[in-house]
Amino acid sequence: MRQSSLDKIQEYKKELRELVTDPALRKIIEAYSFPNPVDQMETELDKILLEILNEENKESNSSRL
Amino acid sequence: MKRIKSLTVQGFRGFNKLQEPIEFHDKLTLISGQNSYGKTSISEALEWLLYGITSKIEDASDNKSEYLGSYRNIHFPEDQTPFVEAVFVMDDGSEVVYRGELQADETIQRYINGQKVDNWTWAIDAINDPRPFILQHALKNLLLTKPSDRYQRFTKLIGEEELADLQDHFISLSTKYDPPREVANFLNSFSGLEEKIKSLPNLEKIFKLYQKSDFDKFFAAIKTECLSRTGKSLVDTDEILAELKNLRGLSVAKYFDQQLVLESFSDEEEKLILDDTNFLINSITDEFSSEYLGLIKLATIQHIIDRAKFLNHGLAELLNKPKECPFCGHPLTENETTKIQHECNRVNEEESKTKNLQARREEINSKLKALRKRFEQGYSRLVAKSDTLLSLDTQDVLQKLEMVFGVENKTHFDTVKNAIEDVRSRKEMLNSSYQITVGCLDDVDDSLVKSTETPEKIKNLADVFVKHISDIDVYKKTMKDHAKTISVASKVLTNILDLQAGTQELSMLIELLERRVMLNKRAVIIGVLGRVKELQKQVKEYVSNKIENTVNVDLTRSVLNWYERIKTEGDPDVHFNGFELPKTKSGAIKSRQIAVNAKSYNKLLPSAVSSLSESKLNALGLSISIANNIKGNSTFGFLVIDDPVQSMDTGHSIQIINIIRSLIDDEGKQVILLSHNAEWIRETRKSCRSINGKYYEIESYTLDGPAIQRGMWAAVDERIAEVKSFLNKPGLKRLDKQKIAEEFRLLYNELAADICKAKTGNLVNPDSLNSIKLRALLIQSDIDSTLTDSIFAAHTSVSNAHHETAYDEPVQTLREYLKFAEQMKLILEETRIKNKTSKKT
Repeated sequence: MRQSSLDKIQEYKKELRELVTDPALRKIIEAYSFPNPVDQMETELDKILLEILNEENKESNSSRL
Repeated sequence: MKRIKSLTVQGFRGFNKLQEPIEFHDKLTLISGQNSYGKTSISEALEWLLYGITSKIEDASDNKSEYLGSYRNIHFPEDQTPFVEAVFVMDDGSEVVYRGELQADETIQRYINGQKVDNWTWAIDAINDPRPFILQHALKNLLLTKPSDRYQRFTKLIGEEELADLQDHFISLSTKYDPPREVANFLNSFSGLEEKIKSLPNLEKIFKLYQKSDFDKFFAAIKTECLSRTGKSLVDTDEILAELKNLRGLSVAKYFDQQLVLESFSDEEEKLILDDTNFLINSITDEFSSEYLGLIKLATIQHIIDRAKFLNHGLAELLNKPKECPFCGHPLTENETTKIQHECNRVNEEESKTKNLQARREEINSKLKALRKRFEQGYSRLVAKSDTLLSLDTQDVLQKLEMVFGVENKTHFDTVKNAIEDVRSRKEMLNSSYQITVGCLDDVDDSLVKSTETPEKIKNLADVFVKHISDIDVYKKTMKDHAKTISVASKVLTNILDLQAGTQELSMLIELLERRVMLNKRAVIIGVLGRVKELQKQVKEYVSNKIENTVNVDLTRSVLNWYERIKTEGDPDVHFNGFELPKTKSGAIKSRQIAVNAKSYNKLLPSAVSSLSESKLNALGLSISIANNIKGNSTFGFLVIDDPVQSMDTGHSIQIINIIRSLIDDEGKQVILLSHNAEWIRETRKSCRSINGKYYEIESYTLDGPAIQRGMWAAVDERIAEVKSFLNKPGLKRLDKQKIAEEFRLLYNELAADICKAKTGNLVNPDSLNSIKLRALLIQSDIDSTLTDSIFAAHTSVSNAHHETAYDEPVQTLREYLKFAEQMKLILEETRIKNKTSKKT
């Protein structure tokens, strides 16, 4: 992929990151990279979900009655 | 900006045998030929050389297999390799030969100046640039296709493929993403719960919130609902849970007041059991055992202590009467006295070792107590796990349970019964090994108290420990095997009891509270997945806005600029009016669509593509391609335009010539124009007379391929007439004289090549002639030497005219040059007549 395309993609990623506030989504956008952008984003999303699943089973403050 | 100098094709598409290279003019080359004479093979050969694929095949998408084998000319000898070779003039003026050979697998093998290469040096830069080809089939594909395909082609055309790809990638993420197996299993584990809440109308609010990812609201709703059931102002979740369980228990007790529970061992419990067994085994086989055996060893030398006492007593007596035995009075020698002394010391040393025997015994006894305590605690924990289930093991309870399950759920009851029997049997087995182990512990304990330690006792204890640990494993496995089925049966029982007691909602609330931590996790995961879907929408909006800006503003403006130039005065007012990204009623841009707008007498047409005539669509397609090709810095300085005037009348065809002219003069393009329309090509040559480009005519098509003949840009008579008319003008300027000089050069070259052909039959490319070659050709054609020398001198003068800013030959000299041309023309005509006559005779 030529440099101008990579520059464009960087610009799009930057603009998209500015559009979202959610940290998980920002991480996914950041993971977008060639040659397999979908795979990269899926791997990042896998990581995010597994982190949530495997984090210590704590009762959040909000769930305390 | 690379320009193309020549093209040679062999064995590719319509080309079979090797032909002379097609030489291109640096401004305009025209190639005329009837349909199916091989014009398109020229553009395809060049396209294939540059990109390794032709757009016709590339655009075929799913039907590529239909085109397999179509690159190779069917008549081309099998033992030869088809190739396309082009000479390009680079930015620095150097010439580079690019050659592509067609491989058996349809791929291209590339060579630069004879050296094999994997790719062209400029390939990466050019991949997203508009291709320097304006092809009719491509134009039709662009417009006469469904809006979604048009969107894809347009984004490619306007160089925004990355944006379209970006959108595709995010769509793929949001629609095709599968969470990891662990996450998917986790989410699936809530499917039963979801169904149950859904079936309870009073918990509708909770169900609605369950479907969303806001756990706080969901949990607050549960809290409100729970508190309304308890009627108490409780704060702690566990307290509320206990209260709910109590309420439910009271309600269902009249139907069945026992619990059906068999929990398998948790990871924590498993770890505890493992620690216990490891401790017991290690203690009994290593540390404790060796200490106990050491104790036996010490006990065996207890008699030494008695002997030491006896000897010490004797020794004390010996001090009083050193010459006789202290016990019998028998006289002693000095040797005997020394021996007694020595023996006494030795026994005293042995005695010191046995002094702490009792202390050691007490220490081991205390270790045994600790070991016994841990053993008994471990056993109690193990058996307690099955207590609840086994508490059902009475005739009354089982009868009651069978009744509650009813005939419909008898299999569940049988499962419970089997589990009870199985677990009870394993528990009894475990208890038996426990009792034996306790007996062995007692024996060891007793031996320590009575100082009757034996190796057999400690060995027995180790053996029964091992057996007991093996029974623990069997017991655990039995519990695990039945835990799942008991859990299912328990859920069925809960449902039955809830149904009978009307406590479904209470049960549901209990389950929600019990699973609150996991529900929170679920909500977080669902939230992330939901936001990923939302992200796709945000990306779509972002991409659409960017594309809309490019299409509505940049593309529409530049295309309209070219389209307006093709319009004629007599055109009906039905025209292309711009591009647009269609929007929904709410104003959102529809995904991946580009609409082509047209107006009829100021009224917007519903469908431009179906309303515009074919010639208008051609004009539009041409305008789009041109607009796109000239924007930015293209890798290539040339543009191949294939049959641009299809379906166009004379008026519009003339406008296209003006556009070609503009591309050359204003945009600096090298244009290669192919057309079936000989009349239009003639008109183009006439309109672009001053360019003096190159013109080829494909005269026929045979098995060998297209018969391409070099034609004259302007007829000799026409050129001579023009020069005469110029020379008759008063006040010729230097620039005019330079133009006349160029006309002379072309006239001399073309006439010399024709004379040579007429006289000798040899074909010569007039463009290849310089002054020296021209002179040689004239001599070869047997032209009078005086005339030959004059033409040589004139040719030398006019050939340099365009380099000389101060070219200012007197008009009289130019008239002389004209005479030479006229003389050559006369020779040519006479030769042709002569040839005709000799043919007849």
